[in-house]
Parts: sequence; structure tokens; C-alpha cells
Amino acid sequence: MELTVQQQFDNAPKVLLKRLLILSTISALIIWSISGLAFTGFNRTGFEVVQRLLASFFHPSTDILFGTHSYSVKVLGLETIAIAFLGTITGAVLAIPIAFLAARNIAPKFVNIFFQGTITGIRVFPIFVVGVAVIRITGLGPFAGVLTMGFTSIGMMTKLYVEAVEGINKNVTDALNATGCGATQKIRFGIIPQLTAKFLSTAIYRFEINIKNAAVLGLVGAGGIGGPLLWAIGNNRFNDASAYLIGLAVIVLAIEFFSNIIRGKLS
Amino acid sequence: MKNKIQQAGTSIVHFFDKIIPKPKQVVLENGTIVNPPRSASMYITIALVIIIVYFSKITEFELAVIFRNFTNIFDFLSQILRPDFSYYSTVVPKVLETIRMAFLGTLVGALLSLPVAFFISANINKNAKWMGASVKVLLSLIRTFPMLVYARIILLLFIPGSGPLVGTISVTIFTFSILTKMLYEHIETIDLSAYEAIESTGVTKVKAFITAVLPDILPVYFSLSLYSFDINIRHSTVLGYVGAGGIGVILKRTLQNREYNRAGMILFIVFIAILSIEALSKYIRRRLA
Repeated sequence: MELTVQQQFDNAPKVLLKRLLILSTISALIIWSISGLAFTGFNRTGFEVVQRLLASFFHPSTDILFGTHSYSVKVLGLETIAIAFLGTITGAVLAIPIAFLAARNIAPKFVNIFFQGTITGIRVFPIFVVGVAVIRITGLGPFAGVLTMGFTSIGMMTKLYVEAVEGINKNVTDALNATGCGATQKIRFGIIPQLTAKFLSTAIYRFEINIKNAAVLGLVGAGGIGGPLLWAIGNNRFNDASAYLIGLAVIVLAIEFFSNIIRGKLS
Repeated sequence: MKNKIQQAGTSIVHFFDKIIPKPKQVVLENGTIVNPPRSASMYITIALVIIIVYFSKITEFELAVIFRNFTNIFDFLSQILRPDFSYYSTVVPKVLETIRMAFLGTLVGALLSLPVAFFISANINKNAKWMGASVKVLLSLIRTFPMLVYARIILLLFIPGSGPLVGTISVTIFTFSILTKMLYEHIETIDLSAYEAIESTGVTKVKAFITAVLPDILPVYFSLSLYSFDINIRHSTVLGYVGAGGIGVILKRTLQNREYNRAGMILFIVFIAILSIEALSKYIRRRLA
């Protein structure tokens, strides 16, 4: 049978109706979303305020940027890094047993469904709700930040850990089996080497995210650079705010840079 | 200076050699003696322990506190796990508002990111690399600040009451900054021979891009957009905390008034909303792949 161009054209699947359907659904969603936005008007003084904020980036408060008192970028930045670091380690350690229990190739089905549900549940809790809960245990301060970070990190880290665990190559453990290795030897030489690189790179990636999340922790008084930063913006202390923002940017960019290098070497 | 650092380095190594046993010497069959190098993991472990101890001191890390006050959380948990279902009439509209903010913000951010990603991809715009590079630096600067900071600043621009609009704008900025990065990174990896072939016929770059590259990256583009929609839904719960609309507004109020049953109801509905949106986006992404 010979196909002409016309025949080919006629045989092509009819996508017009489907596309129209998708398009109209999306348009309906857009109209529905826009209808919910209330625009009450611009705040004239607000523009001046934002202008002043932007201008303040050219003369940030040097006292905060370079000083060593308890509200300086040095102290608060170090505290932020410490919170994110310890929080990531806490989360990374807690995520390991959950990941093994949630992996489909390790635990029986009802167990891993239960733990998969737990992970999703943990991921739903917004960071500041966890913060409010944790503060009841620890009181205000950076320690609350560490525990909050640790808890909120579990969700994403477990998810990525599970992928690593489910990707374990069973041939390696089978080969070790054949040489007569015991269970601990199989875990030490067959399973751990397959997981370390992925686990480490997950932890480093999460550390990056946690540094950025540190600003949110300030809202509930759980330490870090975020609290003073948001306070400075709210109270028109823009020279202070821009100093904190510059400090935060330097920290985030530096950590991103090193994390990219390390993760590049790990993979 | 460099010498001094080297000296310090060797003296540290000697110090470790004294306190920690060296790896065993191996004598090969032909009599050569091999000194296996000490693995780097030992130094890394020691450095990590020092960092952890130092950071624990900064953050006042104390496990004893957890055990001492652990019972304090039960009251909170028991209330939050018994949601006040009668509160749903207040919660549902706010959850819908959050979804609206996230949807519109993601859409606008995604629409803006495609042309920008096209213009700054190093393999498409070979002539103006410095421009692409400077836009990339600007994007990574935008990405360093959390969404919350943008919301707080943009909120100053509007008369109170425009919360959802401010939230939408913040979500747009955030989506734009991450999606553009993911997109140009993807475009830079694809094979451009079709694009170059079409370009050599004399059409404009934009036209060549639409015919040759766009069909190639469209599934990835959609799936990345859906992915950032997922993230945005979860992140925009926090926006209300600074007054930028959505579920965060009432979540903050209930937490401050210690109405934890109501907060539990909010979390319950958010949980259902996130689960269903995630399932939907997973389904669509699987269809696209």
C-alpha cells in the first residue's frame, strides 16, 4: 500500500479536541485564580520605602556587616550555619532507618506503605508549625532551630534515600554471599559503599536548602539570621536589613559553590 | 607563607601519626615494603567531630533538655491530632486562595522563564556570552533570598488587603528564578544540530528555536513547571505568616491564640490538598514522560 501525503495527514491522530479541552481547562483555572486576587491599590509611601531599601544596599550598616557583637552578621551567620549543619546531620541520621523501612526491596509491603505515609505526613508540616511545637520543648533559641531543621529535613532526605536504597545492586551482595561473607560483612562491603555517595550528596544538598530555610525559623524565634533580618525590614532599619541580606547572600553563594564541587566529586 | 602552611600541615600529620596507629606495612612476595597511605576519611572524621562540638556549643545543643521536657509536646500533639472539623468553613476558602496564589504565580513565572532561559543558554547565544553569564549571576543572587523576604518587601508596596496579590508576585519571582536555572541547564545539554540546520536556512533565531528546540524541551518544561507548582503549594503556606495571603494567615492566628484543634484542622486540609495535587501532578508528569 502506498501512502500519499494526504493519507498520512488524514491518519494523524486528532489532537485538536484534546488540545481545546486542555486549553479551556487552563483558561478557566486562570480566570478562577485571578478572580480571587484583590487589588487595593499601591501604597505611595511604600515605593519610597522600597527605594530606600534598594538604595541602602550601597551603604549597608558596616557595624553589623563587619562587627563582632551579638547582632552582627558574623555571629548570626555562624549561628545560622551551625543550625543548618546540625539540623542536617540530625535529619540525615534520623532518615536512615526510616528510609530502609520505607524501601520496597527491604521491608514488607504493609511496613513500607506505613512509612511512606509517615514521610508524606512529615513533609506537610510547615516549618514554623514544627518550630512552634519544638519551642515548647526547648524554649526559644538556636537549639529549637536545630531540632526543627532536623525534623523538617527528614521528609525530603528520606525520599531521596529511598531511591538510593531501592537502587541497590543485588548482584554485589550475591557475589559476597558466594565468597562466604557473613551478614555484617555483606552490609559493610556490599551495601554501605553503594549508598554513601548518594546519602552524602543528599545531605549536602539538604544543607544548602536548610541555610535558606533559616530565615523562616526567625519568624518563630528559633534563632538564626532570619529573625533580626525580618525585624529590620519591618522597623525601617534598612541599612541593617541590607547588611543582613548581603551577609546571607555571601553565605548561601559560598555554600552553594562548595556543595557543587563536593557533589560533583561524589557523583 | 605557603611554606609555613605546608609545615603546619606536615606537623599535624606527624601529630596524628603519633597518637593513631599507622596502617599496617605490607611486604610483597618480592620483598618490597609498601606503606599504604592513611585514608582521608580519618582526617575528615576528626574535622567533623570538632565542627559538631563547636556548633553544638553555639546552638546550645543539649539532649538532656529533650528528655526532660519531652512531655510538654504531648498536649500540643494531642490537640493538633484532634482537628476541630467545624472550622472547615473558614479553612477551605483560604486553602483555595493558597492554591490560586501558587497556580497563578507558577504560571506567570513559568511563562517568563522560557524566553529568558532561551536567551541565556550558552549554546544558543554564542555571541553574547557575557550577557548570559551576567543574567545567570543575577538569577543566582535572586535565588539566595527566601521567598519570605520578597513577600515582606513587596508587602510594603501595597495598601493592606492585597495579601494574595503579594503572595502571587513572590511565588512568581521564586518560580522564575529556579525554573529559568533548571531550563537553561537542560537546554545546554540538548543536541542543537536540528536548530542549526533550520537557522542556516535564514530564519530568525526565535523561529528556529520554536520549530527545532521547543518540541524537544516542551515535556521537560511542563514537568519542571508542575514540579515547581508542587514546591510552591508547600512554600506558600508560609507566606501568610508575614501577611501575604493564603492559609498562613489563619494558621498564624490559630497558633498564636493556642487554638491547636483548629490548627490541626488547617493542617489536615492542607495535607489532603497537597496529597491530591501531588498525585495529579505525578499522573500528568508520567503521561508527559
